[in-house]
Amino acid sequence: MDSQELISILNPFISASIEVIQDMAEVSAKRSKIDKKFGSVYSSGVSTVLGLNGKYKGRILLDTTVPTAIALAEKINGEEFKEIDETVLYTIIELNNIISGKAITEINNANKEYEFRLTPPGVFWGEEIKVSSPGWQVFCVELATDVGSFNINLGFEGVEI
Amino acid sequence: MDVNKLTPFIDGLKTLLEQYEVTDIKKGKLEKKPNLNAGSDVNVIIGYQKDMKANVTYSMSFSTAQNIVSAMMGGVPVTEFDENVESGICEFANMVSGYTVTSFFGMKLNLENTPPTLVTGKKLFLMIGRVETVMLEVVTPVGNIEINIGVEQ
Repeated sequence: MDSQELISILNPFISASIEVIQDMAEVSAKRSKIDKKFGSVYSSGVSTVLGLNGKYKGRILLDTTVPTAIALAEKINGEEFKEIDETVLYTIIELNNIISGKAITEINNANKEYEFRLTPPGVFWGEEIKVSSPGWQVFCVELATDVGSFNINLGFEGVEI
Repeated sequence: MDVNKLTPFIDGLKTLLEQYEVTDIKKGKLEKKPNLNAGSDVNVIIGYQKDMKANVTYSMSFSTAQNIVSAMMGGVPVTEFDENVESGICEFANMVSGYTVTSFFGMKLNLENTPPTLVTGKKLFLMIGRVETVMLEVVTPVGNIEINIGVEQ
């Protein structure tokens, strides 16, 4: 993967995240920071993970703090949540599934050779959670939203940029 | 869920452990869950696609992960859960997954696996999918391993 290919994958994730968060939660978001990490990232609290196959194999990790996850779920469902419960988690899974599906469709339509396919999403939360893919480079984009930051982490097996 | 589809996952784990001279492997608890959740110290997630869409987690304690990596290194003691253990346990899960995919191919099912993602943490709760899940405990001399299998189609 070269840097042009990386941009062609990262940008649809950024735009899909901004659009879907706006459409579903009526919360505005904008790109804040971009960073590159090696191997491991720490979850902010609530993370959704999706596996990726195709020209490149990897994973998508969409991550927020617990208060941001609750705030997004409240905005989407129009009801209050005092803590993380099943409804909040299913809402976050659905939000991130839609973001990832939209981004992957756009990427595949623009670049037929990628043929990316997603696995079903999973969600996890807890304290001091570390997500590791040893030896990988992980590309991290932070979005600033009205209810806190929303992080997009994309990691690919065997990719060095 | 078709019980025959459990066999390649169990056989893959058993075959690989035996390669590293971990024998006397027994089946433990078998449970059905309404969704795929796990919450051990160490959880390796692998997704499967093509003829069967599924998520699988291999969940265990830190000490079991260390013991497996120790066995992979021919018995060299592994006393802490560090980056080498993270790397070793991901490699182990990747190889198990390779065996599993090959076994399914023999059953005329063409599967493709994603690379493993390792999730570790405190008070960790992991929910991978809303589908009915089978949890199978595998009892080994290096510690117990939970295989959670959630098939979407």
